[in-house]
Amino acid sequence: MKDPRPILLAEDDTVDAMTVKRAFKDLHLANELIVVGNGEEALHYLRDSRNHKPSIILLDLNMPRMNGIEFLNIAKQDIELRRIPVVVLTTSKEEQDKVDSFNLGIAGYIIKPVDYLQFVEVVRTIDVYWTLSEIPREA
Amino acid sequence: MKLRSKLNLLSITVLTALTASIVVAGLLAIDDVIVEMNGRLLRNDLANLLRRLPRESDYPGESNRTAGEGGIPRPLSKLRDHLTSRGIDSDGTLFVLQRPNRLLFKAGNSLDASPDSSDVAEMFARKQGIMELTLGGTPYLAAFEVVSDGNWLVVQSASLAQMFRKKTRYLGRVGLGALGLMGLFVVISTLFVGRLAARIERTLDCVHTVEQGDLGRRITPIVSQDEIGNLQRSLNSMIGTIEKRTAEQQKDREALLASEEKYRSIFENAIEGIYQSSPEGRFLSVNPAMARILGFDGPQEVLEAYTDIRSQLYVEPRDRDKLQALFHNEGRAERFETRMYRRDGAVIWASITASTVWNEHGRPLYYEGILEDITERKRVQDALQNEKRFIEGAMDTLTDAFLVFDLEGKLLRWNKTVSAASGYSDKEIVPMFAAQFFPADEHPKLIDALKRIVAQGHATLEASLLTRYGGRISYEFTGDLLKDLAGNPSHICVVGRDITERKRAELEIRRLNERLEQRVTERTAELESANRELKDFAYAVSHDLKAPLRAINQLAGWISMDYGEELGEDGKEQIDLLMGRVRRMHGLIEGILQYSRIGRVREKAREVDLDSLAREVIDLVSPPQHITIRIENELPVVVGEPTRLTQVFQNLLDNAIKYMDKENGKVIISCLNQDDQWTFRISDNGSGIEEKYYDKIFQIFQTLAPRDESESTGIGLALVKRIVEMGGGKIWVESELGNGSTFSFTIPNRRESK
Repeated sequence: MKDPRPILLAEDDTVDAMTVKRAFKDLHLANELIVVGNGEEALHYLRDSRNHKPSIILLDLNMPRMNGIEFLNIAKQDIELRRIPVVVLTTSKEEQDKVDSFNLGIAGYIIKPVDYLQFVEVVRTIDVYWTLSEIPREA
Repeated sequence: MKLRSKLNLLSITVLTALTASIVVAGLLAIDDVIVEMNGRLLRNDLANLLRRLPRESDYPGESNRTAGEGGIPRPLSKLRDHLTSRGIDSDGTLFVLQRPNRLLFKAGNSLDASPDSSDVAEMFARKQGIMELTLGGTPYLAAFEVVSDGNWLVVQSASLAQMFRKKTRYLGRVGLGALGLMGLFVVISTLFVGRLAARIERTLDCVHTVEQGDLGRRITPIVSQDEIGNLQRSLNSMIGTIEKRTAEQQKDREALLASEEKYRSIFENAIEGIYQSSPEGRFLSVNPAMARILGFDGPQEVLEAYTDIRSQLYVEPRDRDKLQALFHNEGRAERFETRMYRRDGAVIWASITASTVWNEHGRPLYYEGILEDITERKRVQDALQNEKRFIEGAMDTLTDAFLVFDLEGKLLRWNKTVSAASGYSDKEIVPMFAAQFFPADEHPKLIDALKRIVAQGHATLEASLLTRYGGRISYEFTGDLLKDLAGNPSHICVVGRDITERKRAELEIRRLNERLEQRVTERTAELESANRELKDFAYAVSHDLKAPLRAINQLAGWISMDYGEELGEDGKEQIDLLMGRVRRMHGLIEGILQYSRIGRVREKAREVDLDSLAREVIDLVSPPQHITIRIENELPVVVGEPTRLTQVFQNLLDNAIKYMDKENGKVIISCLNQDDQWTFRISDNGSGIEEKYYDKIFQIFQTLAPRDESESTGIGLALVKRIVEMGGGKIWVESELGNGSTFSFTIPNRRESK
């Protein structure tokens, strides 16, 4: 990704997190991948001024304590956080989840492929897209 | 001798006599008349002459003087001139004499004579007048006057003979005039008499004509207002009066005749029997109808047949007594009905209207009356009575209330149920009106129903029947408008059914329904809750079951990738088997999710063009080279959920491809419009299905092939069946093992039914 800022991944499943990390490694992506286990941790990270703000957020929906939709509800109300693009990365094909997510201003909604190679393709596509797309600097 | 001749003769006689007497009288008096007339003439002549003479006083100083030529005094000379110039009758002579007898002047024919002195003296004495005198022996008539202070005498004379010479001529003229006058009178009198006679004849002629019977004749013209005229006018007026009276009499006569004829005709042709009978019991006269009614050929037979009406005619002889009692007490009987024997012994019903004719002593002379054969009417009445009894009996067997009202709402007929239900006795019901059977608060409803009955001929109404004791019974009424023979509304017929029981049942049903509704609401809530749980469950399955699977798959992949060398061939194969089972499990979970989603998540139904949808699906399933998929006829546009319909075609085509065992595979899609639904068929020439599996293949998780061979989850057909049935259709399979299968499903043609 052209933008050197870190990428925040909110994912409770270790294997899924590993999958993303592995794909990053396989694709030789330079951006730092910060992994948090749920919405609360994500908000905590984002609101800590010592941390670097991420360029994009990869968000799982089904998480303990605070799920993805709940996180979006808060983050998109937060004037500091609302401009950070959020790509939902989930196993849910529920129409309602898609509608809720897009209502909360997400930038993309991707179903996690079962097959790892397809997963790698997904990550590559995200990388390519956010390389082309401009992101506000002070997001 | 005719009047005309008589009158003519009379007038001629009278005129002749008159003329003759005039002539005789004239002849007798003529001499005196001539003398008198000539005397006057002479005197007048003399007076004229003298008036022209100048007076002696006009010549003063000359009196008694003889001057002028011839010694004649001047005035006299003037006189002489004048007389000379004037001349005198041929036989007349003028003398002027001076007292006592001196001739001063003379003029005329008899100049040679002078009047006698005695005559002169007489004339001087008389001063003036007329007298006869003789001149030269000839008689003369003279007029004389003394003038000039009595000195002069002027004498004018004329010969008498001369005068009488004219007499004959006068007489001739007078006679001729008399004759002429007489002729004229005769003509006038003849004309007058002729006219008079003509008028009288005209009058007579008219009177004669009238006498002959021509009352239209009148005397005309009436030319005068005289007595004859008045007579004619009176005659005309008299004829007019006679004519009018005659005409009236004629009319009266005709009316009388017509009336007689009419009554005769009525008597002869009446349908009713007309008769006169004696108090003793014989018929005095009967008309043909009477004879016919009693079974006889003619009236005469009837008169002869009965000697005692009472016993021969009356079935109940006492009816005759009753009838007679009526005659005696009231003078007449009206529509007295009794039974009578006909001649042939048959019994008839007769209606008698009769009255008594009294003699001057107040004794009944005879009875006269009209008899009507009412046997047929009686029969009809009896039949009607029976019919009425039958209907009333039938009505009373009804358990429903039956009422008939007239259009004013007056109750005319009712059955026992009405009295039983309302509590009124029949006698109490008689004067009642419709409104009295209903409580006042329901009257508007009732009036509304009545209006409907009148307008539409029929109406039903639920209302309360008001009982005598104020109670209310729920009734359902059906009202119908009855019409008379002419088609005019005449009655309202109402049938009422006691619906108390039904009302109670309805109430019960309503109560039960309410309870049921409550139950349904509760159940629905429970179901909704269960559904929600199921949805949550499906969600959990989709995520929570799939996540570990994916992790296993991921990890297995990485192991195979990262440690492939160490695992060896066996190890790799086991990892591949592991990942295969993971994929199948993933498929099963997906299947469950899809299956549960059909009822749970619904797309909005819209028009779907199945033809283009099927073609897209064919592309999507991308059949291998050896299989052709063909759409036989154009598929319709239906109303449905596009995604679901796609799933139906996709699964059926997937199956057709998956179980194709022929080298030249053929799949045919067709459709058929039947009644109100479309039937779609997808036929293949694949392996086919045994009939015993027809049901099983549509059950979830049921497959016919070993799982490892087909990788089939057993979801597809169950999914299709569920979609088709949710859409109101059916699905079935027809197949022949080894020769292929045909899957058919229907979709209701909602588009056309809308």
